[in-house]
Amino acid sequence: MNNWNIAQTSQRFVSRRILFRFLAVITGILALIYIYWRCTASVNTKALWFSIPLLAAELYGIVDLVFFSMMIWKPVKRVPPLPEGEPTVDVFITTYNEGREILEPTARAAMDIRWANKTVYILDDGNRGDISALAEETGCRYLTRGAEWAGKPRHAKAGNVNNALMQTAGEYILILDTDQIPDPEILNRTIGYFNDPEVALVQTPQYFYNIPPGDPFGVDAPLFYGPIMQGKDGWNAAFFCGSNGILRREALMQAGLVRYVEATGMRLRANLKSLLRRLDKDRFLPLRAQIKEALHKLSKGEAFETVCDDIRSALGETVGLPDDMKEDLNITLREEAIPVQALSTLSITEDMASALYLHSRGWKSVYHPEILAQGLSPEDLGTMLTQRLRWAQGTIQVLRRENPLTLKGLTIPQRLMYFASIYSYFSGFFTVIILSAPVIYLFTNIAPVAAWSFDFFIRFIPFFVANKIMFRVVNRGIPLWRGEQYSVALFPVWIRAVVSVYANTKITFKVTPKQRQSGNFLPLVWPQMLFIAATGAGIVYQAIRLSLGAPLSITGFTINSIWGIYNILSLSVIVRAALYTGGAKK
Amino acid sequence: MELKIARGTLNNDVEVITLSGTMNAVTVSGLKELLKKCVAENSVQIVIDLDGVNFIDSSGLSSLISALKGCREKGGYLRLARIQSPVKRVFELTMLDRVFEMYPTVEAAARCPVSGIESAE
Repeated sequence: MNNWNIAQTSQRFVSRRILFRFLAVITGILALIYIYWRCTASVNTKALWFSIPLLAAELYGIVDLVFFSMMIWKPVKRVPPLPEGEPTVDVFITTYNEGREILEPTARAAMDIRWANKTVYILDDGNRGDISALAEETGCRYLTRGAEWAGKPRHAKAGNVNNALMQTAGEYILILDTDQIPDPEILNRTIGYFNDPEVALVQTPQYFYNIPPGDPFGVDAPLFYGPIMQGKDGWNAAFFCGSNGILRREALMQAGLVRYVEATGMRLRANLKSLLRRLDKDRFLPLRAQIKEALHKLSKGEAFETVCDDIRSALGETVGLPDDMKEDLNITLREEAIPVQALSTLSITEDMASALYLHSRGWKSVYHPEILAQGLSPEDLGTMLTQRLRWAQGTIQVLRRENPLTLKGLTIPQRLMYFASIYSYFSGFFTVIILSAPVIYLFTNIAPVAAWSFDFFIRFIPFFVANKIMFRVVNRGIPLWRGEQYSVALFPVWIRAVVSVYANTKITFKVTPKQRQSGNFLPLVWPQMLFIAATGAGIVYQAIRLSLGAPLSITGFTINSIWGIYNILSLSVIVRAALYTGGAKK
Repeated sequence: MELKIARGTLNNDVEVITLSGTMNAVTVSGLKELLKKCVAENSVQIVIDLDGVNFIDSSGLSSLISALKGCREKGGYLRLARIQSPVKRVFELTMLDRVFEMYPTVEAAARCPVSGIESAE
């Protein structure tokens, strides 16, 4: 089923690691030779508007390659330790609007997990009667949000899990999405890692059993759930992927508490400063002095509640204060239903944000690369695009709100590993440049490089070939073409994600439908179709001009046509996905 | 491993909850219920006597935070008294020593003036 599981021998694993490093170094050197030449000797100075953006796109790509090389530098192969004893485990199956036909196999399989001290909970955020009945039939417990959540932010899946954490007590939590059917051995294979008291998280792969032949939606992720996660694991930076992961309750709760203290502390300081600004200097002189004193005490480490009490008394004794000022002393996070948010709520990808925070608090993570749960992948383009947009937006939110480059407590490799994952979502802008370049050349004959010369080929081709070989070897021979196509073809999604996060557009967690949605998906891919049409037209246009004897460079035409065709082939995947109808459920 | 809970009052208006044993995810469910009940009954001036508590984990701490939120939002308080040093270490580790008011005795905790502000609710 998976050829990258723990069946490999150690000897082979070590040899592969040496091979990865060798290929990474060779590719890196060739990349440097190429990009140095591009920067210093081949920029077309007569068309800087064109040559500089292309150079920027190439540099972006090279940095991405460096990150990738770091990621594969020291992959670890894990052998699961035997669990010490049989600690209590809560299995959380999260659901919102998925039908019982999807949930039932998961619930039954969860009940069949071979582990005596387990309790299976269905966390139904939809509060539905038929799901409650299903829980009873299958022997699961049923949890839903209480009255305290009325009118408060729900924080999507993170809120659902946090709500359940407050009502349960298992030492470890296995989180499963509605459709992720667990293997009976999932806990026996993973709980042993927690023998190390510093391990907070064990992640296993997400595997989809319904991928149609040819994987039209590019959901299979052997590179991510293989070398990439194993590589991140080598740097203690494997992160939680939302489902099929096991978490240590104590680590989650500790993270929630520390976040609570940080949030309330910041709020108290901000509120006191705001009070100070709004209080008239002459009328409220004594009160202002007390607030300044309170701020001083806070900086000296006085407890928030003591400071609040002092200020409350001072406010109570002051005559003529507007009522709203008294409200400013409320630092109990009144707007939240529950104060301690164990899973991070600051991003719509709560999984990555939570793992980042746990790492910053010194906890360890483990990636166990054995498929121990199988689920459903999106079966239509609209759903797939929604899911990818959410991942991209959530990841970029993490950069904005808890930048791994500056967050305290991380090691340098951890910072780079997290940043690398975020960095890749900025590719959309550069893809537009890469897609536009041959089109511009074919219509205008303006070249972004000084010359399509021998000097170009001698540097570009070795780098290009080495790069392809490295990826092929790292991915254990599994072709990466589908993944490559989608990383290009999804450029409008990546751009939209970046723009929406930086423009502060309200971003909501959209639940991925587990059943095929019907409809015409072509309008969703108009930018890609536009580029395909423009590139095709450019090739035809210049071919006609050449055949009519126009004095044009044959080499320039050939290179740009090949480049253009490569772009068309990359983009075509998404148009085919938009037209995909096979496997539709009746 | 269990948590014994005794409920009493001081000066007629301060709830004193005396705990002894272990405070963890498994044992705190009774305490959570009691604290919820106090808040629902508007008995929101609460002192928790932790003298007999020898262990607390993050779930135990989290139950105290939830109760603190409930009390504060009704204009009351939740104060801690007689924390033993191993337990205090856990407060420090999670930085919760920055949040709670801690007193050497139950009487000292109850003696401090109640805030002069009524809740907006």
